[in-house]
Amino acid sequence: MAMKSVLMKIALVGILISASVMARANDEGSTVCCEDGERFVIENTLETSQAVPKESADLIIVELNRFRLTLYRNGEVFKRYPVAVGAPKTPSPVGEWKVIHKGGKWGGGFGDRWIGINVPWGIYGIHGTDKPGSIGSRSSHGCIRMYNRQVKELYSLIKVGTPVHIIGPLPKVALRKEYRRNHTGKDVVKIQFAMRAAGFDQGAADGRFGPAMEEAVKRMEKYYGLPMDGILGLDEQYILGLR
Amino acid sequence: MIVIYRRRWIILLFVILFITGFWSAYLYQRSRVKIGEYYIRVNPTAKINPNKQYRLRLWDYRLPLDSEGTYARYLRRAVRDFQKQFPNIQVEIKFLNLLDGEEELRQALVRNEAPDVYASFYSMPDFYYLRQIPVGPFLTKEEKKSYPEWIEELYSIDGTLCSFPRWASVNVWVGNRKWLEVSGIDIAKVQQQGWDWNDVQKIGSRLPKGIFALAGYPITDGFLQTLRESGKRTSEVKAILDLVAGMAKNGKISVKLEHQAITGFIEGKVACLAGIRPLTYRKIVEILADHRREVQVDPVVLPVPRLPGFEEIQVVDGGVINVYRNRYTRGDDHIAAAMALGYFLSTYQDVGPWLTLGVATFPRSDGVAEDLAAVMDGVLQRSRLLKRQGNETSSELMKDLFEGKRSVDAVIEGMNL
Repeated sequence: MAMKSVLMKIALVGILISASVMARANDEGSTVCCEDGERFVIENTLETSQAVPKESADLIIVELNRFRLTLYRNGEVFKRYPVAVGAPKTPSPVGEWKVIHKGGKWGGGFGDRWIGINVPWGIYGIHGTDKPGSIGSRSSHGCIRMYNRQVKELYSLIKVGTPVHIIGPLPKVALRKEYRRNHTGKDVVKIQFAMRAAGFDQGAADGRFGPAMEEAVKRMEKYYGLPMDGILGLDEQYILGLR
Repeated sequence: MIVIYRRRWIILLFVILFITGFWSAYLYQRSRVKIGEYYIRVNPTAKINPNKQYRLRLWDYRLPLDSEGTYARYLRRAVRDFQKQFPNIQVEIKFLNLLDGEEELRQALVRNEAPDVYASFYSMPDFYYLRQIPVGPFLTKEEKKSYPEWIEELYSIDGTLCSFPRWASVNVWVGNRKWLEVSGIDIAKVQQQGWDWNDVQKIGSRLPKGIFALAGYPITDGFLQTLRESGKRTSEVKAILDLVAGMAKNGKISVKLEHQAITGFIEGKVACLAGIRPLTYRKIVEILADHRREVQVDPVVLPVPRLPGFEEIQVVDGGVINVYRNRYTRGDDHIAAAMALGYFLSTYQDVGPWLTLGVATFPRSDGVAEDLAAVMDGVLQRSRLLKRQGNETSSELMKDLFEGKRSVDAVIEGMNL
């Protein structure tokens, strides 16, 4: 009898211990820890989230013509998602941006997650949607729409600062006669791509005429023997083939 | 005992005298090269030791062609080809920024950490007596024939070639055929025999309103250099400056178009574009080749006009390859290895990047370069050539003169004739 009682107690303790371990395991499986330290509860455990290295080289590329977003990790395709992009009248901003804001759940038309990018002429981002049927079309106001479930996954995989390159045709823009430090806009993006093609790379084509771009303009001016003032005038635009 | 000590001292004294004498004779006889008033200790007959491993540092510029890796690939290929001849010479390449590369070299020279071989892009640094090694004494007669005679003279001090020429070109003016013909300028004659500032003034007086005779930033750059080098009296210099200032005052030299000189020319508002680089000329030809343009401009190459009554002086731009001694230099054979690399690079047959750069007239790379050379060869024959001296003060003086902020007398005073 005494023996039976001892065995029952051992079995009970074993059951309790295993239940507690399983509960902890389930708990761990239902949350994802982002690289910036934020924890999110998601419906299903993602295998990929467990494999996030501390210092990963991530890059998001959105191909407007293919309606798809690809997350590259260490130079290799890591995840790929279908997206909706900007309508012809409100095109998505082509350029090389970076994530500046992880805004959590905004709800409504923005779906379950908001990932803001640093476009200087408006508020643009990657977000979920309450119109899943629009994915694969040109229908947004310029943002990149994703399925809610997938935007949550992407949200958990990336961190603030991740580069986001939006690739597509550059919009037709009228160029100013002169560009100098602190100018911003779609036209600046166009110039930045032209400068890169001519061999005067200033870093990311982010629509901002900053110090790096000013230095690149000076390099070009020095190369062609123009006055080295860092101002991109008509002569420089002709040389870049923009006029 | 005293006698013995004295004898020892005498022997010791003789030994010291012998060593000192031997050392003095060695120092006196040691090979050296004279540049101007200075002697540079180096043995030009030193040979590369095939059994010794050399490590050379080569500095070159990150040229815009680099975006596609073209220039970097070109240079690495050149070095690989060099190493086929000299497998015991390792070359470490460093690419400099176009903006601050020259400053980086200056600082490295001060720290005695200059590269063994330095390739400049668009400048001919002054000879650095403390650490630079003249290249001429290391070259055989056959090797010297690789370079045109005028380049050798230009890059020499007292007859000693100081740098390996990489490329060189006389600055050119580009004219708008239509406006030159309207002004009665015989283009072929100008191309073959040259012209002077009186001819430029003539263009200015015959052009319709709103068309400039001349635009271009570089007129402010090389003009005073040629004027200073002409060796004429102040009264004559004053007459020429009066002429140029008069043209600016009458609106025939576009002062406001300083940042739009190329634009003005492309849009047909300027008869002559002054002193541009060959690669800029190439770009202009490319732009004008687009027949969809509203205004068609037929560009013609012109020599830079001489100052009236003066001999023809031309300012030459170029790139060079210099060899320096540094704290890592180990013997004259190390310098011989650096010389071998410098010579190899300066005569490397694959002129691909230079084709894109559009430099002329050495090396002569393609049709555009040939066009330039057709005019410039004559200029080189009849002109006195000067290396370009970047002088911001000169530019400021000329700008002030054009803008009426400074009088002719004040400019002459600033020139320190």
